[in-house]
Amino acid sequence: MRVLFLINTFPPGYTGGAEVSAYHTCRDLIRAGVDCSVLVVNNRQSQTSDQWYDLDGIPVHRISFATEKRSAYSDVFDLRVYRAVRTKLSRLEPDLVHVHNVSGATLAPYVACRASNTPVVNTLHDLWLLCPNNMLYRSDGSFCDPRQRPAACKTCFQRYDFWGNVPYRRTVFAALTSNVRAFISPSQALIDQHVLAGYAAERFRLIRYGFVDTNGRGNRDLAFRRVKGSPEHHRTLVFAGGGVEIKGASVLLRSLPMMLRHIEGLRIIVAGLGEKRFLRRFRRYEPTVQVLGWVPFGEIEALYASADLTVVPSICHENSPVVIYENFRVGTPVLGSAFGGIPELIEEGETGYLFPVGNAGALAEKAILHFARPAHERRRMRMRCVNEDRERLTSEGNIEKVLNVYREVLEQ
Amino acid sequence: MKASIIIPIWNGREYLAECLDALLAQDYPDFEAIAVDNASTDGSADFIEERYPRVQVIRNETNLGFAGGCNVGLRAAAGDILVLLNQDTAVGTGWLYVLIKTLRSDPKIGIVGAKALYPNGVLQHAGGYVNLRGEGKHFGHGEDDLGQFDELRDVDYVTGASLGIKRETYEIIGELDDGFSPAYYEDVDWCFRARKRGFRVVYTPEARLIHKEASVASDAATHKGMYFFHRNRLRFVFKHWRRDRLLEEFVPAEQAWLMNLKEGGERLVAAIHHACLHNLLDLSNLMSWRRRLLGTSSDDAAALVEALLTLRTTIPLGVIGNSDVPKDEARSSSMEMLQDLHQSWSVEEHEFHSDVPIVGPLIAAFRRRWNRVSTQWYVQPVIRQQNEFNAKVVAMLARLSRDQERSVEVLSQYVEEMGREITELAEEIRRLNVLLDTGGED
Repeated sequence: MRVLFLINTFPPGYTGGAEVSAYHTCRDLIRAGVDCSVLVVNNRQSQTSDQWYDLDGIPVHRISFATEKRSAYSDVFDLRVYRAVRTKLSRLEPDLVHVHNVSGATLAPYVACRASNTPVVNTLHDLWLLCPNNMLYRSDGSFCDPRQRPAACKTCFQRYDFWGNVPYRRTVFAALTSNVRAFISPSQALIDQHVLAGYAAERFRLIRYGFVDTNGRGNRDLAFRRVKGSPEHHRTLVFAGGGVEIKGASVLLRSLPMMLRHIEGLRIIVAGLGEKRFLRRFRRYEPTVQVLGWVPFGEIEALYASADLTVVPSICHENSPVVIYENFRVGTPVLGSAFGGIPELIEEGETGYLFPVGNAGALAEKAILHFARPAHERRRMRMRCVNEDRERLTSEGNIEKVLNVYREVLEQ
Repeated sequence: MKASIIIPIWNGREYLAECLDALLAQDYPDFEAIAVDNASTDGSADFIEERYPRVQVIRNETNLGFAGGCNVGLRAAAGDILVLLNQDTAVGTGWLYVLIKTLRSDPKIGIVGAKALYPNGVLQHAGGYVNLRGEGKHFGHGEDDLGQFDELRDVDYVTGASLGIKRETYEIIGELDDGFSPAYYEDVDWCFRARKRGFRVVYTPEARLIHKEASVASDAATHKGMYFFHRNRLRFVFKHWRRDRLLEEFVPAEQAWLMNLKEGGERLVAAIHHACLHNLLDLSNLMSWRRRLLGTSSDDAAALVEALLTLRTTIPLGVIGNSDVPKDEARSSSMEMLQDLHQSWSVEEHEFHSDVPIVGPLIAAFRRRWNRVSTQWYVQPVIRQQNEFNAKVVAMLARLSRDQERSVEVLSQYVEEMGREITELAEEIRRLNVLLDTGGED
C-alpha cells in the first residue's frame, strides 16, 4: 500500500504536536510495511522553495510558497498548492492520501485529491474546519461558541471578514472536504465539536496517538545541561507552552506567586517560544523560573523526564495534547486544564490532575497538593503514567487501527 | 499438472542434503527437480549426482549468477508450473502442493510466493513491497510468526528463494533479466514485469519454508555486496520508474537519503557511485528495457544519464565532516602544534615586578594597583575579547584538522573505488574493441 502524507509543517523544522504525531504515525506505518512518503506544502512562507530531505528513512518533499499578503481567499484556496499536489499525485500514484494539519496549505489538497480521484483519510488535529483560528478561541480571551454567535469571527480576527462568517465558511469547508472518506480524531472532544457543526458522526474514528521511543534523536544530556541546578535539590515543574497565550502562559503566570509561597524548593522550567510580554514576565521570577526558549525535537522528552510535574494549562480547545503522551511515556504526571481533549487523557489523582480552565488559583492548589503528597504516592503516580502509556497509548495499537481505517476506505 | 523445480547451486554442498531431502519428500508427486550448478568448486554437482539420482544436474562452465543459472534451468524445464528454489532452504510439507493449488485457483494469478522463516522460526518474508527509492521491503521481516500474515494477499513481489510461476506467464514476460547477475532484485523485477502484464503476484502463507539466507549474509557488508545490491536497485528503478517519477521523485529522494548518511557511510556512497557508473555503461540495455516496459522513446536516455550523473556526484557532507578522530590515535605533527596552540591561546595580564632595592615592592604594589585601575575599562575587555577569539580559532583549527584526517580516509576510499572503476572501464573498452574487430557481429 502506497500512502502519501500531506501536511503543512513537519519535523525537524517544527515540532508541534500535530507534526510530531504525524511523524510517528508515518515512521511506524513504514515499519508496519506501508510505503509512506511525505509532502509538506505551505503557502504562508516568506519565500518560495522546493527541497527534499530524509528523516529516519521517511522521504520528505517540502514545497513552500510565499504569500506577500495573506487574505481570506489565500487562506482558503491556493492554486499553486493545488497544482503542486496534483503533480505529486500523478507522479506517485498513491493508493491513498492521509491528510494531517493543512491549515497552512488551504483546502487545495482536498480538491487536488478529488480531481485525481484519490481516496482521502484526514487526521484532525484542531478545529480548522470549523474555525479560522483553529481553536474556537477569541483574541479577547473568551471561548467561542459559534452556535450562539454565528458571526463571531468578525469580532475575532478582522482578516477573516467575508470567509469568517462562520456558517458560510463552514458550508464551503464541508463541501470541499466531502471527499474525505474517514476522519481520524485522537479525542472525542474534537469529534463532538465537528458533529455538533453538522459533520456525520459515522465519518469519524477515535484513534488516540501512539508513540514509540523517540530518545534516539537529539542529545539527551543537552536538555539537562540547559537547566540550572541539580534535580535532587529542587521540585521541578515544566511548562512547554513558552509564551503562548492559548497554551496557558498567562494562567501559569497568575498562579506563580501562590505556588512559590507554598512549594519549597520549586523550580519552574519554561520551554518554547512565544510572546515576549509573557516571557519577560516569566523572567522576572529568575532564577526560580528558568526560561529555556526553543528546545529541539528529541531533547524535550529528556526535559520532561527530569520534571516532577508538567503543567498543561491550555485555554483553547486542545485536541489530544502530545505533551501529555510524551510525559506519560517518561513517567511524569500532568496537571492539565479540564477542557477539550485533556480530560480524556488524565485520570485525576492517578496520572495527574485537572483544574477548571483558566483558573490560576485551582492550578496552584493542585500543584501544591501534588508536592505535599508523600514521596511513595508520587512514585506510584509515575508508575501509573508509564503503565497508562504502555497499555492505552501504544504505537502498535494505534497503527493497527490506522491500517484498518485505510483498508476500510480502500474497500469503499 | 507437472511442476519443475529449479535450484541454482553455487558452492552449497553443506545445505544441499537438507534442501533436497525436504524437496523430495513433497506429497505432490508430479514434479521434476533440476539443479543448475554454477561452476561450484566444492563438489556440489557430484554430490547431487551421487546421492540424488532423481535430481537432474546441469553444469554451467562459469558462474552465471542467480538469474543466469535459473534461466538455464527454466529453458530445460518441461513443467506447466515452474518453481525457483534456493539451495539454502528446507521446504515444509505440502509446500509444492499449496503453490500449485494457489496458482490454479485464479487464471489471473501469475506468480506465487511462500512464507519464509529463519531457522529460529522468526519471519523473514511474507511477500514484499517496493518503496519510492526502490528498496524492497519484506512484510513481517524479523517479527515472530503469530499468524499476522496468515492470509493470501496480493503483494508487489515475492522472494525468488521460493517462487512459483505459470508457464504461460513465463512465456509472456520472458526469462529473468540476467543483467541483475550475480544476485539481488531479479525476482522483484520479474514480479513487476508480471504485474505490468496484468498478472497477480500473490503470497500464500500455507506454503512454508526455512531459508538460511546464507549467501546474502556473508557478503552484505562488503563493498562487493553493497555494490551489487545498489547496482541492481538502481537498475530496477531505472527499468520501471516512469521518467517524471524517476527525475522528480526518485532522484531527489535518493539524494536526500545520501545527504543524510552519517559517518561510516562512505563505503555505501562509494558502492552507490560505483553502481551509478555501471548503469551508465549499461545505458543501451536499460533503454531497451524501458522501451519494452514503459514504451519510452530514445530521448529518455538523456534523462537517465542526467539522473545517474546527479547521483554519481552527490557526496554527503555528513560522511566527510563532523567526525571525531579516535583519541588513542598517534598525533600527527599538526595535532601537536594544535595542542601547543591550545595550551597557549589564553592571553593574560602580567603582574608587575620591580627589582629596585627597598622601594621596589612599593613601586610594584603601586604599579599593580595603578594597572588594575587603568586597564579595567579598556585593556581587560580587549584581553577577554582576544581570548574569546583565540578560543574560537583554536576550536576551528581543531575541527579542520579532524575533518582533514577524515577527508584523507574518504579520499583513500575513493582512490580505491576509482581503481575499481578504471578496471571496469578498461573491460568495457576491451569489449568495445572486440565488437569493432568483429564488425559488431556479437
